[in-house]
Amino acid sequence: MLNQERDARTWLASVEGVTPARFRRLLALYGSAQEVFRSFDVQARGILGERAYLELAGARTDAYFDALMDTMRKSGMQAVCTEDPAYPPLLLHIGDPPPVLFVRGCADLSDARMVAVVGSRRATRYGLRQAERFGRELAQADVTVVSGMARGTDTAAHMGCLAGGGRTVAVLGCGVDVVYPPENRELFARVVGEGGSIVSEFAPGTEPLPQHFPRRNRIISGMCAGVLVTEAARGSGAMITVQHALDQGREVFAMPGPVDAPMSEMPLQLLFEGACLVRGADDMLGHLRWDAPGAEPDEPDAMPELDADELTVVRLLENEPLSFDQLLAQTGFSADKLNMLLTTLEIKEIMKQLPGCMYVLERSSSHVGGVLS
Amino acid sequence: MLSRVQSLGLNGIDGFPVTVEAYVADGLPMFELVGLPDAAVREARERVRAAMQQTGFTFPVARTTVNLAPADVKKEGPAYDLPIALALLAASGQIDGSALPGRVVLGELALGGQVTQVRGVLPMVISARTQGFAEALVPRGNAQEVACVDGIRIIPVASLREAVDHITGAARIEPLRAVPYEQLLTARRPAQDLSSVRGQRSAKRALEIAAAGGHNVLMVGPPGAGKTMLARCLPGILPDMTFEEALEATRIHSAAGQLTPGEGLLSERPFRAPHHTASAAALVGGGPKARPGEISLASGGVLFLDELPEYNRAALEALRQPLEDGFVSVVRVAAQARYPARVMLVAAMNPCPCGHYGSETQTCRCTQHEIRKYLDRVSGPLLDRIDMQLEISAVPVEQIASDAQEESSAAVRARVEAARRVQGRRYEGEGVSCNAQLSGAQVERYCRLSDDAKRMAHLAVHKYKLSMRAYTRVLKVARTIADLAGGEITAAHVAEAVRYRSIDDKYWGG
Repeated sequence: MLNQERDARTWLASVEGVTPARFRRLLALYGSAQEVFRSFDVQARGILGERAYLELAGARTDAYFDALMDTMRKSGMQAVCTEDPAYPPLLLHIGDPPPVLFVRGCADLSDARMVAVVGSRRATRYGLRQAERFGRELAQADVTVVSGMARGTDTAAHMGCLAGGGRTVAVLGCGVDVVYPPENRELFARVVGEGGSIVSEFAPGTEPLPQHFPRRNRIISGMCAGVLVTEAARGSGAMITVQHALDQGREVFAMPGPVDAPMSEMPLQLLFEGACLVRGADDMLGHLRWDAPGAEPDEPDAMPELDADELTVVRLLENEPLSFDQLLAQTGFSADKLNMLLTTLEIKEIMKQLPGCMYVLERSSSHVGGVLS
Repeated sequence: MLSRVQSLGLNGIDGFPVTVEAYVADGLPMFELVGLPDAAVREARERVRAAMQQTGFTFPVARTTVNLAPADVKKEGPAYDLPIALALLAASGQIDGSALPGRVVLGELALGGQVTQVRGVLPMVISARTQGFAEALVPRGNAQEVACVDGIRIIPVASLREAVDHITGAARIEPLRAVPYEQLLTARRPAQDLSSVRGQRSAKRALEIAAAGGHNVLMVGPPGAGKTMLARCLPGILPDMTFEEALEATRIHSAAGQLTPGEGLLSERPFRAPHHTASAAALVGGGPKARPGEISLASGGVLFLDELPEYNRAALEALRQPLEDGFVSVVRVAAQARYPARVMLVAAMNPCPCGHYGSETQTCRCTQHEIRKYLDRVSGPLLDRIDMQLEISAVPVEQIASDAQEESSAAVRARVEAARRVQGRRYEGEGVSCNAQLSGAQVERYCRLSDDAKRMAHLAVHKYKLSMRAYTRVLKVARTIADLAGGEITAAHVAEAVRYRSIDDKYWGG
């Protein structure tokens, strides 16, 4: 595609009220976006309706066009159109693919293996830990992790993927030059800086309005082969993504959680209805018939030496997180000794303390088990 | 005729001598009271008149002048009622004034002639002793608080009649016998005993360390986890107050009018828990008369600030200087005073506005942004003055119901006192009394680490990204843990000390 045509499409898609459907009808009517810019007339009113018609008429100036191009250049933004080879291949086949994607970071979105990880913004500690683990494991299996950069699950999944050295794609419900939620500024920079992409169908500067997010979710599921739901309560936005995934014929994965936890309600419901149960990235790879990556990056010899007391604590934590008092009661150690052991285990990165005085193993018990045997 | 009675005034927590002079002369009947009296002093005339008449004396019908010298210092309060009455009786010739010198007199009069208690008797009597007075007449209601002062005869009086009879020799009152301080201590019982707190072993261990080293503490935990209860236990595990400490604490409470009637010297360390709406003046002292604030009332004991982020920011910032220096100077237009402020600060807060962040059983309804904003209300410089942070989680119901044996405050206090003795010996002549007060240079001198401990400290600095300041505080706490164990600082001590900084990076690390 010619650069002028891409720029013209970028311009057309950026105008408020030009939905993907209207965009396509305009293109059919005029033949190209450049032609829309050149000979836009009253015929378009039937397609656009009064408001969008006036909006587009107002945007048909060189000043508007130059300002848009300038904004994009300044913040290193690129536009990817449906005809571009960089456009996510799976996304082409959904009902109303966004005609133009605004991208920051890596502009090539044609990754072969993409999976979405979605879930509640108020995930539990268990949910966050697992989202982080799935992100990491998928990254290590060379799968691109797609999510929405919201608080909670999304953030954990992106972070896990980055920690695993993988590529992650964040699809936003606002302009790609708007950092939302604000506390994710650092994550935003990391995604862009570490080979990931920030993607949105919304024009630069668009505010994160509530009605944007359900639309955004169809892109998340649309570009992926499958969608994993880690945790979602009844009515969670993650279920909209799942609905899109089902409509688009994508695989739906669900992670089991405690049966009595509100945050596990929707994943368990999905499992009950036949979603694919996953315990780790391997389950997802197997189901999608993707090759498992090479040797596990397992280094049992890198495991630090543990003495008998430390092992006692580690063994107790293998099954579930415990509080200080529980550990004290079950080990019979004195408070000062247990405090000391907890610090040494934390320094050796075997265990960590969660908010609320709970202690959990940081390494999976199989690693520790290797040392035990 | 002219007469003189010695009395006392109060400035801060120090007394100063006041001479009450009365002059009764011929002329048109009138009554003039001079010497910068405040409203309470000026109203003395009416109380004195009624009390004298009710006791069977006559109020002089003559040209009467009462002067409170020194004339350029403001006098406040009703403590001059009794000395004014005695001076008037002597000046009008109703009693013999020659027996008045050598005695100081304090007391408010009721209309019926009874002597009622007043504020600040202890500091005033102490200053009377320093000035060489042999005898002090004090209201009977204040007798207990001054019972410990020796070197001056304390005469408790209940009425104007008793005071007159004692002075004229008609009926002598036995001076109060000083109660030995040790006897007061044995009667001491902590308001809250550690044995009544179920579970919370990590918090109890932390409080023991805090008490042993005098470290300030911040507790973070959900509502109902028992933060307040734990804090209330702290005075009971602190070492007994020395006589000087008790005297100082009682002086401050006496000056503030905060002593319970009939209660003697404070033998229990004070515990003050001002509400979070307290102003800066309420916390550090102030008001037109420069009264002591909560931090001074807590001096020698514990200042407990519950819901720390809810306090007025200016009020918290005002605490920084006294926490550092151990005293506070309050200067107002009408007065100025310097009060001791050697407290252990114990602060408590929820982990987030709704309180359930990190809870196992409850869902937190706060956004990350709200939590951030909440935590940011606690300023860094204040956190810098807090050596130990601990997380408190709610005790499960099964544990509350269990009847497992819990250690008593007395047992913990014994260990704390031993550790304090070690510190006392080590810091003789250093100007500090416990590990929390160590300066940077002193930390370097006294918190030497073995090679093992050094290795552990380096690992911890790296792992928890401790700042230089945080590291210094870890060393101080490690020193205290070693003192409790009775030895030099080992790797295990450092490892434990690190646990009390680890909230830093979870909540404030950002």
